[in-house]
Amino acid sequence: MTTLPAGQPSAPGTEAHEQTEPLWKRTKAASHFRNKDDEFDACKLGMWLFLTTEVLLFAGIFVAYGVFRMLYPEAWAAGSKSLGVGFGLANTIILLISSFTVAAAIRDAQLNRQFWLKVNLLITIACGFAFLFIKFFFEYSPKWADGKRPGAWFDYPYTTSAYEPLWWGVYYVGTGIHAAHVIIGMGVLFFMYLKARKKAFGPTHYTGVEIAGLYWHLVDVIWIFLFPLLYLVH
Amino acid sequence: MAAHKVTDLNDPHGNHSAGHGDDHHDHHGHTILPMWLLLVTISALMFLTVATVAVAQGEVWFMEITGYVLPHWVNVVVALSIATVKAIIVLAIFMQLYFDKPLNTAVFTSCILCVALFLGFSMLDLGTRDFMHTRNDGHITTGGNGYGLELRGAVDADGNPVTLSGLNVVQAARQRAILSVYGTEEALDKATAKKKGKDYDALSTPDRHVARTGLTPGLFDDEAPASDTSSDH
Repeated sequence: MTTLPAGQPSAPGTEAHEQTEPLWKRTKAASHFRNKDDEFDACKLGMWLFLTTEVLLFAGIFVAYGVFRMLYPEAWAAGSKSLGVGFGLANTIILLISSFTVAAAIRDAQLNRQFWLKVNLLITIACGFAFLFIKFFFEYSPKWADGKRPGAWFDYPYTTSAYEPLWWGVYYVGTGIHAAHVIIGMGVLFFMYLKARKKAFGPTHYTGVEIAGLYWHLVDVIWIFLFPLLYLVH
Repeated sequence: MAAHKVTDLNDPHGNHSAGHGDDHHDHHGHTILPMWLLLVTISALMFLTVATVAVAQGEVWFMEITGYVLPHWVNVVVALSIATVKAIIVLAIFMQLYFDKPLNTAVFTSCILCVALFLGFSMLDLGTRDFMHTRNDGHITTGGNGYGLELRGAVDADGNPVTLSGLNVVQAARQRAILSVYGTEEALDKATAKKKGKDYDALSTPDRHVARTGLTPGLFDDEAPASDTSSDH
């Protein structure tokens, strides 16, 4: 109830009808767009253009993998054998499940199911934590302690090829940049979760969740290619 | 009063619908994926993941049972094909490219074309580097030269400090392990034999096949081996 004299405008957000409308209903398109459809399409196109640059970033790693694999196949066979397929498989399954939950989160925003939107975002972030936990504690730490390190830091005395430091370089850089993308994706999703708590997303405005979901799906697609190349193809 | 569908350049939203009609126009083209589609998609992805691992293990199993070595590219092609199918499923359904404007698909396809150019020309070059010009003979050395690699504090039998320069990083790791952990080369080889597996140096016998990788020794020699007295060629 406002106590200002009649005829004067009240402070924004204090009118009774404004306080019952959730944030996603009140969100309007930016003024340079015709309507919210155009804004959504523009945001999506911009995100797809950014995703193409991310794919090209990882293409550099994949070409390095291909080049060194053709030059030094014994190093690739020896190095690939020392990776645990079980860990790679577990990480693949975790990322696939997280892709499912983030797609479900977008669906929940479209259907105005606020509770499940937040739950699915949190499950996706938890899957990211599980992925990083397996990667750092079960894969990176034992290997680094063993001496299986890239380049001049290499210190593993039982190797069978002189070029194994190159394999470890490609392995650490490929999976390391991917892990960095997982961390960034988790941060973006957590930011969306904080906005979801304020009911910023709903059937007419869910651009943020959609864009964060696209980034996370790309992280999953990259891992879909990294897993067979590093773990399965000797 | 202007009709709602006429575009008016003076109105920032173009159709005089700001404030009332916005909600009516916002549902066009926004696909809501049904839950059954999401579940079918994740099941297909899980199945293909298991299939990739199964094919990779199956190649080893096939080799052990029949003794035939499948060409190396079979495993690579199958694994990457399954990975491509999985990626297309994620892109089309989870990222909703199938339900989206075709422009987004065109943007991503052009990216894949660029990657194909990148990979294609690099592999074309690397795959045909089978010969070395004679003027380059002897100029290629293996690995780094290890300058600066020193084992601080270690001394050899004469009391001189041990340096590892001139070795590449792999040989340096070996020397370091001998000097600081195992003491002698025999002890390291004994430990190495265990790590490498009992069949590491075994050759194939008529009864049992042992897979080998890498280049055949002497494949690019100019002269035939001395013992080759066959008159077939």
